[in-house]
Amino acid sequence: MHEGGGGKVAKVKWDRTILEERARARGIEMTELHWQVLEICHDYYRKHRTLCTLRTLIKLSGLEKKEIYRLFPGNPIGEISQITGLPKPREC
Amino acid sequence: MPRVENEIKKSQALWPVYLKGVCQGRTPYDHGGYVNIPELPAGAAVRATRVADILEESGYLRVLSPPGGWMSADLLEKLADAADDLGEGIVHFSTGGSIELYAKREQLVPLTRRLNSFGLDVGSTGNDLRCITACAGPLRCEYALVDAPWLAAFLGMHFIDEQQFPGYGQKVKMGCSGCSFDCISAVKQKDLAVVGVYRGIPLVDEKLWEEWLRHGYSGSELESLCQHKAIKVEDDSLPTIDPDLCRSCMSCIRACWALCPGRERGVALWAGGKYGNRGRAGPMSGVRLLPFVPVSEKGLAKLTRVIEDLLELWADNCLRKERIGDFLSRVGREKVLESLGIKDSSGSGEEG
Repeated sequence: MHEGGGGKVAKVKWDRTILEERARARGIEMTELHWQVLEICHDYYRKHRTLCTLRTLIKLSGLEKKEIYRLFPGNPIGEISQITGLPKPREC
Repeated sequence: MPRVENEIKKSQALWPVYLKGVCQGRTPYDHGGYVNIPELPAGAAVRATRVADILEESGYLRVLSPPGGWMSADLLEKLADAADDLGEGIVHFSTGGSIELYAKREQLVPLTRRLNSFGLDVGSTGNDLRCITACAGPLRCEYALVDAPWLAAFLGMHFIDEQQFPGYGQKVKMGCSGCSFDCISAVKQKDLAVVGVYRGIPLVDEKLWEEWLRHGYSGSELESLCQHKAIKVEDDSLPTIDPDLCRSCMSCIRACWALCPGRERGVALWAGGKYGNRGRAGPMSGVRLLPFVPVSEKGLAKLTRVIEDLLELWADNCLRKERIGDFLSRVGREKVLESLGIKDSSGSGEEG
């Protein structure tokens, strides 16, 4: 999903098929909005080497908290971490 | 008085677990609590046990209880029926003001739907705004300056998303007290406390004052009752109260029936109280952020806006697992007031 070292991570394309399968196994059908949220999470990860918190995701995406809960029910950041394999933030 | 073991015995699911724990002399439960149930972002928890041969896990729902603890017998019956039909037949009234219904994991969502059908909802778990508690209010208490249960219901409806969708770094507890006596210890216990207050000094009724003296009380007695030395009584004449010294603690009003609270009623907002030992400073009492807000449309709009702003400020700047009290103590009350755009006109504001 990403490569490189020394603090710099090169942006590569998502392997959508794998991620879609993982999401489906967790009861989530991916839509374009889901992908947009995942892209924001990945951009954040490239800069900070961790997933963002829910509050940061709300601010970055401009979506409402309830909407993010609708996209990734239960525990949004946990779900995104499980689907993408990105590490959860320290705050969680 | 019902004994806890007799009550738990009725629930076949929990009794053997409890018994095993007591026999072993250690908790039958394992670490962990809140679980991810897609339909319920908050309000459901499942505890794993160490005695998997008896019971693998014990789930429960946390119901946002009616403010002030007022509940009709009819609603209580419906709650009991739901706990019997879909749950384990046991109900726990928690110290935080919510009601916990024990049920199997697969029954948590159907049980929630059942609760929704008669107007109850779940929430109050995780890093969100917890169940807003309130004192009994004017329905039972003669000292109530504001209708605390009504206020808790209003704030509960206003902040319902904050109660049901966790999104903070740590939990936030809120309580509403009808007067400065603060019977529910909201100032000391809750991260946010809305307390009924009156503006100015207590009013003195001349006739009642004479009657009070005829009952054998004396002016000097009243003077000594005031811990802030605000009351002066010369030769049992009408008491004079120094508005600069009076902190509206209402001790004099409770002691002397000739005194009554000022007519202009409202609420004060306190923040930062907590009982828990977690955090740098341990348990702490709250500090006053807003000395007086009238309970009017405009006043409540101001109150909710300040609470929203404070929650945003804290959530954006808090350290890991930092409660509002620790945040206020680290950043400083003055700085927080400045960030919230509140001009402090209440003096030190350390005492109410």
